[in-house]
Amino acid sequence: MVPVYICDDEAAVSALLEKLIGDQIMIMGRDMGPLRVASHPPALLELQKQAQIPAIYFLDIDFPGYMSGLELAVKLREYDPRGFIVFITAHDDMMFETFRYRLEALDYIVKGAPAMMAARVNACLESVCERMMNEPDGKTAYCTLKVYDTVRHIPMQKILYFEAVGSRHTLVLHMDDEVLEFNSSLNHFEEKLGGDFWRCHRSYLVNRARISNVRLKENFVELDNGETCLLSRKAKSAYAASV
Amino acid sequence: MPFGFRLTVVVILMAVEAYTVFRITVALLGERPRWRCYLLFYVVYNALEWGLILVLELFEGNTWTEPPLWIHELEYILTVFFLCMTIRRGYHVSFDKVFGAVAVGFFAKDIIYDFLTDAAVFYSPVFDGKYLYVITSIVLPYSLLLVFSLVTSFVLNKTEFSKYFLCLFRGRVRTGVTLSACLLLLTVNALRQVLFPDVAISFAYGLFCFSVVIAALFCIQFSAMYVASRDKVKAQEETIAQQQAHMELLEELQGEIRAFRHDFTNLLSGMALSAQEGDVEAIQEFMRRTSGYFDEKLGSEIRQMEGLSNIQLYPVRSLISTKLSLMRQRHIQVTLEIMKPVTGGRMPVEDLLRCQGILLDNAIEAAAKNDGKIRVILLQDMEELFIAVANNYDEKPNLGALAKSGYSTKGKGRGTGLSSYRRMVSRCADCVSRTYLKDEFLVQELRIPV
Repeated sequence: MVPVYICDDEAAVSALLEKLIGDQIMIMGRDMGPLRVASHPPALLELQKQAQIPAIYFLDIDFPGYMSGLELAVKLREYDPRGFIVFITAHDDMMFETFRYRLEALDYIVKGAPAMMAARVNACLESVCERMMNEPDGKTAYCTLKVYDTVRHIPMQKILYFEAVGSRHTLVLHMDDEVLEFNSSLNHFEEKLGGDFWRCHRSYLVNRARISNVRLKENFVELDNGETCLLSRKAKSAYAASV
Repeated sequence: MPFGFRLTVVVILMAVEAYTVFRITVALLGERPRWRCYLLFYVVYNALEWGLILVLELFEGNTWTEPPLWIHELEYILTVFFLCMTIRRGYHVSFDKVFGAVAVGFFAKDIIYDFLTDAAVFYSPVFDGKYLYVITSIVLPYSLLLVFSLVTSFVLNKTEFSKYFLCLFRGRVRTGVTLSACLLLLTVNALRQVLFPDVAISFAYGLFCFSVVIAALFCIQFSAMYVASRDKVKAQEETIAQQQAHMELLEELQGEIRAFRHDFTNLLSGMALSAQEGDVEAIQEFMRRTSGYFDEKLGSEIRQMEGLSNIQLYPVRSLISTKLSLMRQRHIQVTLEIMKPVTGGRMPVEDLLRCQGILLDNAIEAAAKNDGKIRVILLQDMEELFIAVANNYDEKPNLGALAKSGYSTKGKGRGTGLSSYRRMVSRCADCVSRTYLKDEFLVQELRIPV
């Protein structure tokens, strides 16, 4: 069960949403709930700690007298980095792209006719379900990565390889459909990730599960998506000895 | 004098010498002195000096004759080379600049050292006690040398001389000329000994050298200032061009507002007629039709202007407005969102500008040909400046190939933008860059610590 939270300071809106979401969950028979309502951000932050994560959050943008929806979302993400956030707004000219990219918000719902809102709510819940299906189950290993205030959990099988570049400790993490560049050292990750990863070169750390070919003659390692990493002489002899 | 005392004195004197060179070099490069780097420098310096003495000992036997000149020169060049490597490792500056700075540093140290020791010998009275003699002939000049290095580096830092100095290395020809001048400075002492062996080193001679150096420094300063000012003019011209683009945007907006006003008065007069007749249905119909009208016509422009005015870094603002007008020309739909004031992060403004420019250019090039969409987001909070540029695409880009340098969809000799972007990002400590595909958009994200 995925908990669902609603946070809006207008009682009418939150009651409407509660009804809409409750109905949608029931009609479609989704594995979601319980549905909880908070009228202001601190209450929601309290509630969040009581149930499991990840959860779904429907948030208002403005809370007069409290923090903004943006700050609230940052706080929610601290505890629940993989949660799903949907914003509720009165106007459709809000800065939605900012929310989408900065906080990886899922979608937004414009306040208006209940029928339209119901359709949007259903679309949001549908896409949450889809994402949950695509995501690996709880047993898979994650690599945690802290970037400023956010902690990211990256599924191991998404990782292709780490590459060290330049003289400053810059690491490039290659994943499926993503490349992340940050300051860290390869040795740190080699220690942290253990035997699932292979240091095939001074500046490459490869996910063993993603290797498709080790080309001993040409001195490189081929991955299952066609990318290649260099293979050092030392690693090559160690590999040849083990095989 | 006991051997321990002599050894200590020599070690301290070498520390002072190394410190002088180090301090001046670092000040020339415009960096802060770091103790760890200095210690490494000192150890290398010491090792080279002692190593050379040992080699000479083996080479010449036990006779204390003056070794040939070329050995001295070789030693000198070797020392400079290794010191360059040490500093380059510690500060991550390119080799040519370090070499120039080290050469100038050595030259300055030698000149001052010669001058001070000559002055000390010239002025000090004859003493009986050797300790007193040591103080006047060695301790005094060396402590003055230390003071000199501190004062010089202070002055260099205050006048931001490093900017002018680094100007000398812009372009291949300029770098070549500067480096050969530096090499000449390094060897000038030896050359003098070869060309004028009979000139005895005296106090007056030192003074002469000193004044020559001062004059040379003035020349360098002036030429560098000239170069720097030329660059500045160029930069200003660019800024003016960008601001003109911004003005054009404003004028366009003004034109649209004028047209809108015209429309609106027409519409209102129509409604006034309905109101007079008490036709409530017509008014409601009118309201329904016009409520979205304003937003549709001017909403996006006004929102963009609002966003732009949130950028408090003027060069970045004008860059973005130039690129926005370019996107408009190409009929790319732009969403610009800048919620909060942007004041810049720990990345130098020039680098930030170039990074932003590369990201925007890439997005413009890569956006879908027919229905191009670009989203530009800047958000600054307490900890970081968050920049995201997203564009849709016709053909799914291959991120693995994108990460290799020289990747481009347009053949050879292109694709240098992204690699220089990556270089600038890795140069800025704690910057994080991320490239990913999401919902049919290629997103380039850059997070800079504040």
